[in-house]
Amino acid sequence: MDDVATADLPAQSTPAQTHKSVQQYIDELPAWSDGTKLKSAPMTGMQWRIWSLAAAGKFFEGYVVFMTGVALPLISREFHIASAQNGIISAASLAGILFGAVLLGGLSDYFGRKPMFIGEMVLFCAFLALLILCNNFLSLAICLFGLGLALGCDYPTAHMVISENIPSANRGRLVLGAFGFQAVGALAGTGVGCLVLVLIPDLSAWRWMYATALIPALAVTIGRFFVVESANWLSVRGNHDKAEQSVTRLLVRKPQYPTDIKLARAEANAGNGHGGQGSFMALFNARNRRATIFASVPWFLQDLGTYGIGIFTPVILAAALGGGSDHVRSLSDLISDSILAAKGAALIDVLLIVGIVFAVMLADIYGRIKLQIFGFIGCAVGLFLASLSIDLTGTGRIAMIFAGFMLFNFMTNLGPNAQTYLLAGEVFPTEVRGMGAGFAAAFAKIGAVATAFLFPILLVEIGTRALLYGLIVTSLLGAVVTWLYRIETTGVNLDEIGK
Amino acid sequence: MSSPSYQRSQRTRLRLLPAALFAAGLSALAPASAQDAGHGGGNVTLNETGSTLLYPLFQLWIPDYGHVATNVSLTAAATGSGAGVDAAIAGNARIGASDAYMSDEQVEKNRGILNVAVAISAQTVNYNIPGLNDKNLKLDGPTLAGIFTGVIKMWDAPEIAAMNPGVQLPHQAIIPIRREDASGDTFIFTQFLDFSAQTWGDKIGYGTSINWPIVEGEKVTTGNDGVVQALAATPYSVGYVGISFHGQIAKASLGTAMLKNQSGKFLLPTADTISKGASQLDPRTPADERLTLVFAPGDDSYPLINYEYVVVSTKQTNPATSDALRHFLLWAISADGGNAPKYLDMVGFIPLPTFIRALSENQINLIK
Repeated sequence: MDDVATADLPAQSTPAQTHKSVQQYIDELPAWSDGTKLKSAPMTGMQWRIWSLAAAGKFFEGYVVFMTGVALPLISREFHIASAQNGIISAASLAGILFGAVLLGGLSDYFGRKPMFIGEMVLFCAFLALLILCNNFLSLAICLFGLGLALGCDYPTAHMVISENIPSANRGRLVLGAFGFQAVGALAGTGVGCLVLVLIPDLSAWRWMYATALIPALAVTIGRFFVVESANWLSVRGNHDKAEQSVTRLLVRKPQYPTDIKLARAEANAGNGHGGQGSFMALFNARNRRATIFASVPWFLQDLGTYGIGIFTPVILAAALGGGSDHVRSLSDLISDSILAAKGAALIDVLLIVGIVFAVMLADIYGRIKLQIFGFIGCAVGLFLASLSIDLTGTGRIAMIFAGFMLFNFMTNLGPNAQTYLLAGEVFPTEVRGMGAGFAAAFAKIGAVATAFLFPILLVEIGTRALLYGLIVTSLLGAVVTWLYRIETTGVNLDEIGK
Repeated sequence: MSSPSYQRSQRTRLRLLPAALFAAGLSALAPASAQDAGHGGGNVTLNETGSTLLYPLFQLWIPDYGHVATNVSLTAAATGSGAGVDAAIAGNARIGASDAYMSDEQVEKNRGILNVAVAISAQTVNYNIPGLNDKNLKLDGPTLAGIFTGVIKMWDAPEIAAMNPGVQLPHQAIIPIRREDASGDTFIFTQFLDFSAQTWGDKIGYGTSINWPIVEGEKVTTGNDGVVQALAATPYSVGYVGISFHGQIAKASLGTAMLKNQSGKFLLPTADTISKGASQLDPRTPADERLTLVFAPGDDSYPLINYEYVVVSTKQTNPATSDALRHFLLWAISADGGNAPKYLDMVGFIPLPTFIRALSENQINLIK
């Protein structure tokens, strides 16, 4: 437990220690013997370990979610799932994410970040193992709900585990870097899914697909036992001694810096854990209401636009990759359609990765607010370009759809998709951070569920053009809400949030 | 940009080209090989049971094959496709005849059982409407789905009238007739409804036996001959019949519907429209030949077509039986053997294309 890797540092002097907050220690720049400070605080072995294990979790989430897209046609055939039941399958995952984000994510404010960081992976591995073995529609729906719980819990937990343990100056790029691993995992998941289909062109191929994730996911779960609890959370809970031990283990350097950690003994904010400021309703009190609106509403509006542009996904994929079979006429048809679906998912995922890479590079330079507003406006332009395609035919139509689709996906991933996730874990004070970030994620998923049901009806009732114009308005509204309720967190010490 | 499906077709064709060439050679040899069997060993009995649609073809084959392989005694029974598949799996019949391929679950549980295509067949939708049986009414999948779920009740319903302008439809209740035995015909017909009518696909699905919705006044029967008799005896009825019963249909003066295909054209089953439909899907036929031809794409594709299968085990009781079975099946699929026009024309079937024949031969040669 104590053999953490260490970061090499120049010989330095240790300035006289004063009582500081956890984040001040984490942000503190080591100094040379002549008193010259380093330009940035190097990440310690423990900090990299925490980041890697959080990023690995994100990787497996993307891996399994996108793999499910490839596996579902095979599962549907094996379990004779009617098309109407496919809606239940999607709803099971979304419902799991929703409950996981609010209930399990919020529990990290009570029980600590580390238990939930481990617990969500245990849950993930358990339901993944059951999924490999499940043999009917009901067990499938339960397993996907369980995986959704783990995914939902990870929205706030992974973010907090990283952001509460790393220097404020690098927080944006490191949180988004880990978030980006979800997209990398998605690409790997579709790739492995394809490979398994080629190697085992059989109805049972989907079980092997999921099996490929189980052992590495178990390794990640075990790894998470060997990280430190968030000293930020311990400190806020009033467990100062444990917080000091935790931050000491977090900041092991060679030579050691800082050498003598004495935390400022702030009054515990979360009370006794039985309500008070740590309760769910605290998200809506005068202190936190602004953060709650700021974290939740733009995320919700971002999801609306994502579903809107999704109308064109089949056109994009058919133009880029060709259509699938007219009907599934054999197992071979099913497998070739699944491979085609995997290629389509990979194509969309590449757009996701490009946007996230830019978000990682720019988040700590230009700030979250500017990128989110810029992204929302870009999404509106993308949706407008897509709406212009309605009056066109042939290649002009396809070109306009492509232009709108590409612009939207780049802008949403540079802006709101990445920044809403980043901000939701930053804007709440530590004592309700898990609850707040979980609520924001769940609120967005409620939007996703509602739009999944409403959009087909709206498409018929008001038509594609009116729907897209409506979404242009909601995207611009996202920019406006971001500006009106803005809380810029770039480089800000998390201790200062909410004060 | 060429589509992946086209590329896949090309790849499949290239991969199977040697097999096709091999098949062409075997086709010429098949009768001789089968005849060789007639000169060896003792008598072998090959019993067939199953599809009532395929039964008339076996009745034509049996006497002639007796001249090809004198030591082989063939018997046939019309018990329905479901029973045929079950008998082949259980080892109670050397040949199970079926209009439908085995399900994934059946294949999974019975790895040594093959589905060998022996011909291409079709199905007709027939009706008995006094005064209109000499006309070919136009019908489509959603309308038939409406009739067989009881939503469309009368012959002069707007859905039917819209497709048949100028036809004086009677204001009479429609009496749907369906099979109660496990039937390949039911598989083909319900798959057509599944592919062409969203509501049927969502709620009911397809199979040799399905949970049919209860429709007031409906009749149930067994076998194709049972359906033809029920249609003949029941004015204002409608049902689905295998094309090999076209003689009985004509004799009973039943009407035959033109069916709407994927391209929206209404077509009757002819050698040309059946052939066109099958040719659209030849390249997508996998090595195990389990592929449906129903509702094939293409402007001139008749929508109710299928491969006729013999379901056989790769492991036979003794070498003499496996030799006899292999030689009979090679004869059955050869262009100048059982797939010759003199047999298939009589039952309204069309021969296997060379490409598919190669797949069948590959499978037949697995019988040991």
